[in-house]
Amino acid sequence: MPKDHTVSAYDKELENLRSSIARMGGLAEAQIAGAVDALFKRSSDRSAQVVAADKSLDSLELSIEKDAISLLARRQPMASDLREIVSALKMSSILERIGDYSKNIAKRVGAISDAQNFRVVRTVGDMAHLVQKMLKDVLDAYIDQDEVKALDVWERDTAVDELYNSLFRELLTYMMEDPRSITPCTHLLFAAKNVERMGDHVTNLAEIVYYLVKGDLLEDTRPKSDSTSYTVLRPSDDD
Amino acid sequence: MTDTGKTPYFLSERAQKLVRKRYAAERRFRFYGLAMIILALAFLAVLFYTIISQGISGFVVTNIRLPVTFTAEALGVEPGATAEDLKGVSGFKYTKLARRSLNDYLGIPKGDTEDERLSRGLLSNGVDVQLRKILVNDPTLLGSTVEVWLLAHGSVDPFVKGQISRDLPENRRLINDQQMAWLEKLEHDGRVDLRFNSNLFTEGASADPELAGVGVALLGSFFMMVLVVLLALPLGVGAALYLEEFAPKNRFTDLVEVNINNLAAVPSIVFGILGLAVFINYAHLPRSAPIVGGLVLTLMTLPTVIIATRAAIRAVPPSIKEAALGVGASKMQAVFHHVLPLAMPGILTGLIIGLAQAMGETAPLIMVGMVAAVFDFPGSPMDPATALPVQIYIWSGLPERGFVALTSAAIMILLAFLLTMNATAVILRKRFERRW
Amino acid sequence: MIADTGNVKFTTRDVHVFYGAKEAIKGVDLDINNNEVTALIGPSGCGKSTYLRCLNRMNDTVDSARVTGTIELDGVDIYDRSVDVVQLRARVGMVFQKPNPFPKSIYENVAYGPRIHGLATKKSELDEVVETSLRKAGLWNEVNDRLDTQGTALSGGQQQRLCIARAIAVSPEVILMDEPCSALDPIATARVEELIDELRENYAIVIVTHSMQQAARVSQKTAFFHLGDLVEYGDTEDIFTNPREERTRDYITGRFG
Repeated sequence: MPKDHTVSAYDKELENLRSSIARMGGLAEAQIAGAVDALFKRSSDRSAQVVAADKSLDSLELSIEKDAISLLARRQPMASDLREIVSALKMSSILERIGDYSKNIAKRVGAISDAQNFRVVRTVGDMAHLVQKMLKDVLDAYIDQDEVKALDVWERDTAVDELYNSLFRELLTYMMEDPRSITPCTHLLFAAKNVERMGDHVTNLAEIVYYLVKGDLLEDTRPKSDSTSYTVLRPSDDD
Repeated sequence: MTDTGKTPYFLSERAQKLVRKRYAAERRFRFYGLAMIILALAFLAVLFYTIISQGISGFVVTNIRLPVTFTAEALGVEPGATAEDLKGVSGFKYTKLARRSLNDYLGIPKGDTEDERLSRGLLSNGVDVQLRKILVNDPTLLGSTVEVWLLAHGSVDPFVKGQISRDLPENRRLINDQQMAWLEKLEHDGRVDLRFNSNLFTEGASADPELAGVGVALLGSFFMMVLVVLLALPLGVGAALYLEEFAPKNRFTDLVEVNINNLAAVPSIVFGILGLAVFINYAHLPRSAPIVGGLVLTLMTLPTVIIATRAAIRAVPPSIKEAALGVGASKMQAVFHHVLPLAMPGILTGLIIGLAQAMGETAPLIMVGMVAAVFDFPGSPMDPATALPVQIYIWSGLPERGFVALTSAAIMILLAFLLTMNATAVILRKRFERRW
Repeated sequence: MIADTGNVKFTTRDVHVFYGAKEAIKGVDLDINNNEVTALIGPSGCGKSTYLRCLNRMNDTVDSARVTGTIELDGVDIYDRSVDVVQLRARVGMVFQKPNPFPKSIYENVAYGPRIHGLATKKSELDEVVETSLRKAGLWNEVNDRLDTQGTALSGGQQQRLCIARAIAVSPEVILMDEPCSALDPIATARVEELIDELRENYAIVIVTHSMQQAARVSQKTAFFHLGDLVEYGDTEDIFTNPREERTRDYITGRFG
């Protein structure tokens, strides 16, 4: 932690900002968990809860944005303070996006509820757990100002991508086999895509944390394993 | 710029010429300045040389050492008389005692009227005072013979000091050949010496240079200076404070201001005439008294003090006064608690410079009658006295050779006082100069 | 232009100030709230300092100055004949642009006000006032072992805090600050700003500043003056993120004139 500012109110405001981000992160984590929970239980109540809870994320983002702008206008932040505030702005919007994805997943619970294949749902849940864990770690990294931990999270997105790749193929196969499964499978596919996107956003968070701590922008050399954009599955392949 | 662009303007011949001209002008100016300073210093050096070379001999005076026998009989007292008795003995008896010892020493028998008359011319008229003092200090000396340094007569002094050549023909000397022969005998016996002239500081006016001193003048000057300080400081500072801090700025105060500035430039003799008219003719204060001189000098010093005080007050940063007003001090509190103490070094400097000016002033004092020859010390500022510069003026007009040296010696004393005062002003300024 | 919240300390209505024939303030309506820092900003010669100096009648010391309109402190017109200007200045303290400690000891600097106002009669009381004032000004720890040294021997920032302590010592209700940091380096400035923020708890503070960044940092309310007019007044955050008036916007974004 850096030394205190001469003007203590400044410290307080920065501290507020930091804790707001942490709170938002916690909420986003809970939203992921809630969405997965709703998915597993196929509970519309649970899903409604998640959808409702997204509002608090949105309002938190707004208040962080306001605080950050106020800080920028009133404190003329420099160096680490400047990075802190700019990072908070970016992180809050990312966390809000993550919340949106969770809400989106929760909304699909009804459509997926008649899906036959529980195993695929389980895989989506595994992916989501991975992302949730990554999010938790990146938030820890943020709070501890630990760039090593952030880098670690940054590299773990590969696993999510790989899960998503296999899931993609699997779901395509199901849909080719049984046209009736197209609706739930498409929804599952979107849910999985949402989780994959969340993973990407978490790596962005990791990059922001790294920038916040080190002051350098992380070069974009992250291993990418999401190959679904190129995946083509033909019926003949299976034969 | 005016060039074709190949050589930059500031490297061109024209620009270089200007540079050389500029340097030459600066060198010339420096030379003039230095020459003027050297000239001024040279004049100062000449002034000091003449004054000191002439005046230094005024601080010593010729004394003759004689064995004096204090016989009770000659003094007309009982043996074992008290100091009180001895004080009462008339000066003439002491004088006779001194003359007797000289005559005895020179081998002039009693009753040799011509030689006795001549030998008198060797001793000062003040020897009685010297002898009385010795005896009163130690009455036990009565009846014994003591070697005593006695003042020589003023006409002997220049010959001993070598200021008048002994080769002058007898008719152009104040002492004749016989007296000169005695003097040379005394000198040969080592009985003539130049000793410190304490009379210069302790005595008043006298017709005899060896007995004349600036004592009365110093005391008179002192009385006047005290008076000037006591009057000019409160009056001047008060007036300046009022004008600077409290008076409304209008035509009347402008007029007052202009007049104060003009007063500082009024010739001092005018103040003398004013003093004569107001203090002596109208208020009937005693003539020749330091009180009148002091009042006149106060009037003269007042504008200086006012101007210096106003400058000193203005030099105090207004932020200090604002600060005081800001915590709720009244205007008077702000001025007296903060502005005045900070202005004090400047005010004192101005006062001392004004005092020095007053101390050296002659003309107005002559107008109020302080030019009289005063022999006795004034007991109070109401008694007649004279002033140091006036004393110098008086002595400078006296014909005796001894007074030439005394004049210069008195100038040296006056200069010493003025230098001390100015040095005090400088020290005050340096010592209490504040940075804010 | 009138504050809508908080408890009002100063109410000023239609304030005009003339220097001779020149009108320096052209009808200002402004309220100063308690427990808030109100910053007056604007380009040089806009009248912000002149307005500030009306609040403790410091303009009285300028012969040619004339003030019209009403300026009420707790509902009492301070230009009323019944109001003693000396007491007013004790109630409304002032800190100046250049640190101006008296060339006396630190102790005497702080003790001067209480002494002339009779706020402390005994030496022990005076000692206490000096200590608490210096503590409030955040200077006690730096100077408590050398209260006898000259106030002018302190650093610029310390001098300014000493001046603040001197102002606090007479227990004012309002503190006026006329560009208190313009002669200070950034570190000293930050310390004074921190102090201003702390003092806000107990006083109404009005600060004139050339630096709008400083206004943004220290104040809760900001008033923008231009050519003797009060152009805009509002929450500092609003003024600096979303000014309503074009002139304010141009000034704070550096597009002026």
